[in-house]
Amino acid sequence: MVGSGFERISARVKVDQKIGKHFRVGGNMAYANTIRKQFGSEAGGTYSNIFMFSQNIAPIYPIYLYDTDGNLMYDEKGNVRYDFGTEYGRGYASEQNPLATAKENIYKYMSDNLSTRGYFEANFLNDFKFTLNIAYDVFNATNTQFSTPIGGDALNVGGRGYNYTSRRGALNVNQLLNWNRRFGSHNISVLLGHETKNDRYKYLEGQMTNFSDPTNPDFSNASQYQGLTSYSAEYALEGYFMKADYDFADKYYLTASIRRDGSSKFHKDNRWGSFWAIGGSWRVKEENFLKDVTAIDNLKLKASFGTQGNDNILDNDGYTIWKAYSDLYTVERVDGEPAFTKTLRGNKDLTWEKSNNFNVGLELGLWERIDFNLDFFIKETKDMLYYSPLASSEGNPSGIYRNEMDMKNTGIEFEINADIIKNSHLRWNVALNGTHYKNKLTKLPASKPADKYPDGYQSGLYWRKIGGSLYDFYTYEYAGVDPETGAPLYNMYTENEDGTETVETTSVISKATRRQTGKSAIPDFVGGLSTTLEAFGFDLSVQTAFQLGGYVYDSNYSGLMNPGDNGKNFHKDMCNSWTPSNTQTNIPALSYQTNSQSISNGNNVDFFLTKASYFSLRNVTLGYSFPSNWMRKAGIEKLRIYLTGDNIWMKSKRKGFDPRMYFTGETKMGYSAISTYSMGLNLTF
Amino acid sequence: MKFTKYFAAGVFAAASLTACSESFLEDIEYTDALDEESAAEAAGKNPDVFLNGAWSWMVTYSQTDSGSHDDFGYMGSLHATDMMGQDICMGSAHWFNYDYQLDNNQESYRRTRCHWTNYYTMIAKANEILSLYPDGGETAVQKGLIGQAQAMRGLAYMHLIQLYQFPTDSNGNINASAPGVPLMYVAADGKTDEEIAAAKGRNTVGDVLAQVEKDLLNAVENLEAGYERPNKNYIDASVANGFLARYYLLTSQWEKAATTANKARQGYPIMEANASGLYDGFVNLDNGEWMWGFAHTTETQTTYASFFSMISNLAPGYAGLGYAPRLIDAKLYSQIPDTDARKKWFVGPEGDSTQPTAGARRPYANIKFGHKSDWTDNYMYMRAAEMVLIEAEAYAHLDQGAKAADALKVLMEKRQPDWDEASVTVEDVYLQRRIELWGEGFSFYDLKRLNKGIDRTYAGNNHLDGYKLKVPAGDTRWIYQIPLKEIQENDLINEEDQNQL
Repeated sequence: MVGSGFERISARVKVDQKIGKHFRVGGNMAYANTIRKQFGSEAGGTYSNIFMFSQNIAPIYPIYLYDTDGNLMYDEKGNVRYDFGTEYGRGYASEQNPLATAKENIYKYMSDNLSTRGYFEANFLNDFKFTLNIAYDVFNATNTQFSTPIGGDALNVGGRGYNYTSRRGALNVNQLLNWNRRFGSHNISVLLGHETKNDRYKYLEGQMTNFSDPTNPDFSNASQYQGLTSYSAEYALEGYFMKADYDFADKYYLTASIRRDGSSKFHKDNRWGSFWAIGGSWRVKEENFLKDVTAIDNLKLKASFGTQGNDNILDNDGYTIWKAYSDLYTVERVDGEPAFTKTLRGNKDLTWEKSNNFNVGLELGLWERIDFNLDFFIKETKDMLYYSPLASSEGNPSGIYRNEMDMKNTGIEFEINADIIKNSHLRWNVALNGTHYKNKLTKLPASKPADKYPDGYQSGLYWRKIGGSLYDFYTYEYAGVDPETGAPLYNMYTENEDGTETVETTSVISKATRRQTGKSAIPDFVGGLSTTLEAFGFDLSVQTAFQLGGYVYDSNYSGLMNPGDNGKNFHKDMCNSWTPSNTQTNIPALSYQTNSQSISNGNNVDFFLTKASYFSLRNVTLGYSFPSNWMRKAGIEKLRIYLTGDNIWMKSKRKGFDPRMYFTGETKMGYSAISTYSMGLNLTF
Repeated sequence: MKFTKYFAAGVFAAASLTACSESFLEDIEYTDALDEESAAEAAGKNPDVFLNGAWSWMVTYSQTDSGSHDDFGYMGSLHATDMMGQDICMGSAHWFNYDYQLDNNQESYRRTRCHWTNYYTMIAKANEILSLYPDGGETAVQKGLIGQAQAMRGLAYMHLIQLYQFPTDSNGNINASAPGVPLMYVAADGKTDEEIAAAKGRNTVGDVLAQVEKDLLNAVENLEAGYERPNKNYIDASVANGFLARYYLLTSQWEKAATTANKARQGYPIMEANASGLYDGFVNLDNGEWMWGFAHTTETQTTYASFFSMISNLAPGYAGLGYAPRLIDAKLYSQIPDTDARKKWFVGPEGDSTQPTAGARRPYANIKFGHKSDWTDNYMYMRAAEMVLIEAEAYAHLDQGAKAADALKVLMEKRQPDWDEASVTVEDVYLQRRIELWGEGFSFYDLKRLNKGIDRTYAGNNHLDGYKLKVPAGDTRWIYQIPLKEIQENDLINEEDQNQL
C-alpha cells in the first residue's frame, strides 16, 4: 500500500544467577525500536481510509486532473496533477484525494520500547520460598503527521502539521511468599502475595500551519501557530492475595484463593473489591477401577467457581478514563483567557465491575488417539461499567459512568481432536472445536425500573429487556415497495381494544412502528474445523473457522443503497430499483435527497439485518521434510520446506461483508484481514 | 531453636510484604482536566472562566459528537433554520440541504438533536454560574456574572420554545396551554428539589414564556447595576435589553418592544455604507453597530465546519468553492431598489466573472459575507439595525405608521438616502427586515411569529430543483419533534407527548 512502511529492530539480554545454596537472582531486558509510516486512517469513515473512499465514491470521478478537452494536466515540474474535487465541484468528498495524500502526506511514527524484568528468590527453612518480582516497561513514542499544501484540505493554510510525543511507564512489583510441604500422599502449598502497579503517562501535542518547504513537516519550517497542549495521567493498583493448593495421591486436587484490590480510578470509599475462587479436579484415570481400562488413556473431571474484577473504564473513543469520581473540567482558550467546560460527570459510587465464573469440565482421552474436552460455563457479569445516558436537557456531557446492568453468558465449549489414522507411514488428524452460548441481561439500569419499563427499553439500534440479549435488534419493518409509486413501505402496527394488533403499511417512516425483531448479534455457534495429514515426508494442514447464526446490521451496505446522495457510489443491487418499467421489485425508487423516507440514511430498517453466518479458510500449509537419513549425512537434523497461506477465502451472506470484524452487530469501514502467502524453510542442526 | 527459625522467617516474610500508604492510590497525577476543587478555586479567582466556557460552547464544533460539518453550535442552529425560509437559495446541494428541504425535523435526526443539545447545554452552563451565587450577587461584578447567566438562559428558552412548538397561533395570540419544553432549575432559583424535578417535563408555552420574561428582566436589572464588559464576547445590559425586545416582539407586547429596542441600541451607531461598515464582510466585531458576538482566534475557529464556510461565497469553504453557494432569492433581489446600498451585497442576475471564488461568480450570489485568511471571521449575534427594525415593526403593529416610519428612517438614511416614506406598514418593515438581516438567522423565527408560509414555486424563481417548495403557515414542517434521546431518558416525556408530524 503506497505510503505505508514498517521497520523494527529489537535486542534482548538475559541473566540468571545462583548465589549460594539459597538465593537466585536474575532478569532480562528487551529493547525494540519501531518506525512506522502510514498513509492515513486504518478504519472508520474518514476520507483518508482508501477502502472506505473507493467503495463509496461514484465510479465516474478521476484520480488525476483533466482539462475540459480530456487531457491530463501537469504542474510546473512536469508532474501530473491530482483531482481534489475542487475545480469541477465534485459532490462527494470535496478537497480529498486519498492517493495524493497517501503519497504526499507525511505520517511517521517512531517508538522506543524498553522492557525490564528482575527477580530475587530466597529459599529458606526447606519449605519456604520468598520471591520479589519487578517489571518495568517504558514506551516512548513520537508521531509526526503532515497534510500536504499541494492540494486537499490543507491547501489554503499552506500545509498543516501535528507533532505528538508520549511516554508511558508501567511498573509492576510483587512480593510472594510460598510454603510447600509433602506429607506422605498429601501435598499442600500456600502462597501469600502483595502486588502494586503504577502506570504514568505523559503527552504533548502541537499544531502549526503555513509550511515553506512542503517536504519538511517540523515546526522549524512552519510560520503560523495553531495549538499546543500537554498533560499527565497516572494509574495505581494495589492488591493482596492468598492461595492454597492441596492434592492427594496425584488424584484429587483442590485449590482456593482470595484477593483484595484497590484501584485509583474509584473514590476511596469504593476503591477496594474482594475476589475469590475455589476449584477442584479429579484425575479419574488414576483410580483403580480405571487403571486397567486401556481404552481410556485419560479422564479428568474439573469444576471451579471464581470472581474477578474489572476497573478498565474506557470512553466512547476507547481512551482510558483515569479518574471517575470527580466532575472534570477542561480549560479551553478564548483569546488568551481560560474557558471552563465540564467534560465528565463524576460518580463517587463507581466501583469494580465483577464477574462470576462457574465452570464444569471433562477431559477424556481414548485409545491414545482421541482427545475430547467439554466445558459447561456460566459467566455472570455484575455492575457493568456503563456510560449511562442522561436526558439531553441536562446538557453536555449527556451521560455518567455507573455500575449498571447485569448480564449472564451460559454455554458449552468443546474440542475433539482425533488421530483417525496413526501409523509409521501416515497420520491423519481431524480437530473440531466450538462454542455455543446464550447471552441474557439479568438486571437493567436503575434509570429504567421495571415498573415504568415493564417490557424493556430502546437503546439506539437495540432493545434491552430482562432475559433478552445485549444486542437484540429493534428496527422498522420493511414491507417492500409500492408498485405504483416506487416508495418504500414500512409496517405500522396499531393496537385494538381487544389487545390484538392491526398491521398496515405506510411510506412515511415516522408513522411506522419499530419492533423487537427477535434477531440478535449473538451467534448460535462459533467454531473451527481443522485437519492435518502427514505422509511420506509431506505434511498438509487446513484450518477453518466458521459461525452459524447471529445477525449484523450492515451499515456499509446501507450507505451504498442510498436514495441518491450527491456523488456517492451505489451497490449494484440498486440497478434493480423501481422504475415505471420495473415495478415488481424489492428495491425502492431513486428519490434524490429525501431524508425521511429512505431505507438507508441511518433510519434503522430491518432490510439491512444480515445473517452473520460465515465460513473461512484460515490457513493452508503444505510442507515437505527431506528424509532424515539423507540429511544426517550432511550433519543436518531436519530440513523442511513449506508453503503457507493465511486468510485465503471467506464466504458470507454478501460479498464484501466480513462478520469476523464486528461483535456488537454493527459494521464499520475497517480493513478485512489480508491474505498472505509465504514460503519458508526450517533448518535444524 | 526450630521456633526461633520459624519466628525469624515469619518476621522476614512479614517485613517484605510491605503495604503502600493510602496516598499511593489517592494522590494520583491527572492533569488533563481540573477536578471539582481546582475548578471551584480557579473560578473563585477569575469568575469569567465559566462565562468564557459558555461563549466557547456556542461556537464548538461537533456538539453532538457527530463529526459532521453542519454541527457547529449557535450559528449552525441559526443557519439551519434560516435555510428553511425562502430568501436564501442553495446553488447546489450539500450541507444543510435537508434543512433547505424542510425535511430535517424528526425525532431521530441529528438536526433535532443539535438544536436541543446546543441550547440545553447553554442552560446547564448558565445554571452552573447561578449556582456559584445562590443568594444573588452583591458587587457589580457578581451581578454582572449572574445577569449574563440569566440572559443566556432566557435567550435559550426563547429559541427552544419557537423551535419545538408554535408559541403563537394564526391570530398572533399566545398558545399558552400548548405543550412546550423542560425548564431546568437549580436551587439558586429558589426551588425545592421536588419543584426542580417536576419542571423537567413539557411545561406549557405559557410557563416557558413566563420564565423567559422573568430571566430577562432579572438579567437587565443585574446588568444595569454597573457591570462593564471587557469586550463584545460578553453580554451587557444593552444586549440583555435586546433579548427582551425580541421577547416583547414575539409576544405581541408592542409598546414595550418599541421602548426596549430603542433603549438597547443607544450608543451603537448604524454603520455607514462603506468598506469599514456595510461592506466589511461582516467579519469584524469591532464594527460599531455590532452589539454582541464572538471574536474567533486561531484556536477557536473551526475552518470548514463554520458559519462562514457555509454562508460566505468569498471564503474557501463549502459556499465559496462552489459546493453549495448561498444565493439571494430572485424575487427578494428584485424588490431591493437600485439606490439601496444593500443591493451591492449581491451579485446580479448575470453573475460576475470577476469574483475571486467559484461560489461568488454565480448569479444572485451574496458577497455580503466576506472572509479572513486564517478563518478567524468573527461571529455576529446581535446588532443595532435589528433593534431599529423591532422598534419600527412594533409601532406599525400599533397602527402608528408615522412613528414607525420615523424609527425606520434611522436605519434607512444609512442604507437608502432617498427613502422618504411618511408612514409604513408591518409588511414594509418586514421587507426591510428580510433585506437587512439576510443570512443572519432570522427567517424561520420571523415567518413563524408573523404566521407566514413560503413559496419557492413562483415563475422565475432561482431555487434549486427538488427544493421548489410551497409550505403554508402552520404546517408541521415548521416544528421540530422532541429528540428521541430525550424521550428515552426523560421519565416525564413519553412518546405520547411527542409533536405529531
